[in-house]
Amino acid sequence: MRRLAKLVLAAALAGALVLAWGYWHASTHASLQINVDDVGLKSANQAYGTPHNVTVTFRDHSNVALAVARSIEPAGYLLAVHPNADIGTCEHRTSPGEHSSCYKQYSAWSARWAPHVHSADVSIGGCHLHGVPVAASVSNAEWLLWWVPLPHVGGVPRQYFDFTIAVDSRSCVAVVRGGTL
Amino acid sequence: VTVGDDVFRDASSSHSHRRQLGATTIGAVSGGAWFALVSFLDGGWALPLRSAWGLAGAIASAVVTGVAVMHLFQIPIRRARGLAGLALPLATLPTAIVLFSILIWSARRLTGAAFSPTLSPRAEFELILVIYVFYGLLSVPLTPVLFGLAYLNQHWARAMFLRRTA
Repeated sequence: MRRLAKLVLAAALAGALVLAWGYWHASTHASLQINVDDVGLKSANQAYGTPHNVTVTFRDHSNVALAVARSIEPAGYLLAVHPNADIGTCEHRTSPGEHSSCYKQYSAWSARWAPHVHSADVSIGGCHLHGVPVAASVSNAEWLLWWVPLPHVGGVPRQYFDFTIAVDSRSCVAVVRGGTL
Repeated sequence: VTVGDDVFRDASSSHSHRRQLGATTIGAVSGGAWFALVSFLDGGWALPLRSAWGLAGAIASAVVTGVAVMHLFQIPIRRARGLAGLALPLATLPTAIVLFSILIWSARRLTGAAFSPTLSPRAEFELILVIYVFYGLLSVPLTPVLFGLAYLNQHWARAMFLRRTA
């Protein structure tokens, strides 16, 4: 009977370790989504457009620069650039093995600064804006299911940061939804 | 009915009241401890933690669940030993999960929290219940953890019951 109780508690401990590893990995590795919504590019069909030639410097509450993101042209999507040039955005790594090892370091670096983002300096062409508020949403739910052996459910867990910055590049002002700053 | 019968009845009634009060206290403490774990696991998904009323509703849901489970299973918790004691979380854990899902859904309704304006109250309840049942009872690593904690909780509750009656 005592052996059975010990077995139950050992299973509970094993389960806790599996989940704890997932939580630790998710807390130390992040995936980023960076958006600059430019209402100066609005059209009849869309409320804002995607600007090109963008540089974003993320800052924390004390205005310390955390990381720089640049638009990847010609598509215009934004990626944070690792200070180590060998890592960069990991975009130049073509083989799956190389990309995976690069992304492991890239996501670990992202997790260190992303939770502290408060504002950003944004440059779009000749328009330079300082201290633009960043709307951040964080999701950290993968660690509960990382152990599932399915391609679209389980896998190495990460937390997700979604940063959105709204600007009007025509007037060169930061925008809050419903007005300008 | 003699004077002796009245005295015996009064003593028995007082003992029963103390027992119920003990179950309520132990259940409330257990519910509070489970709330800490559930709020960490839920991460604000179903628990309406963003408003003060929502937080109060979530804590109340956990405490009421703990008290209800402790009252419902008071006798088996006191008496079950060996294999029966080990198997008891198979009954207490699903009961607690279903009851907590109902209460947290009610707290969400009262505080105006909603997943989406297009989701009906019934669909929202089903979603909360399915997710909680899946993670609580069918998740390979999490279910043993919750089962083990329920077993330890039951062990502690039994020790507290015995100490109160000693």
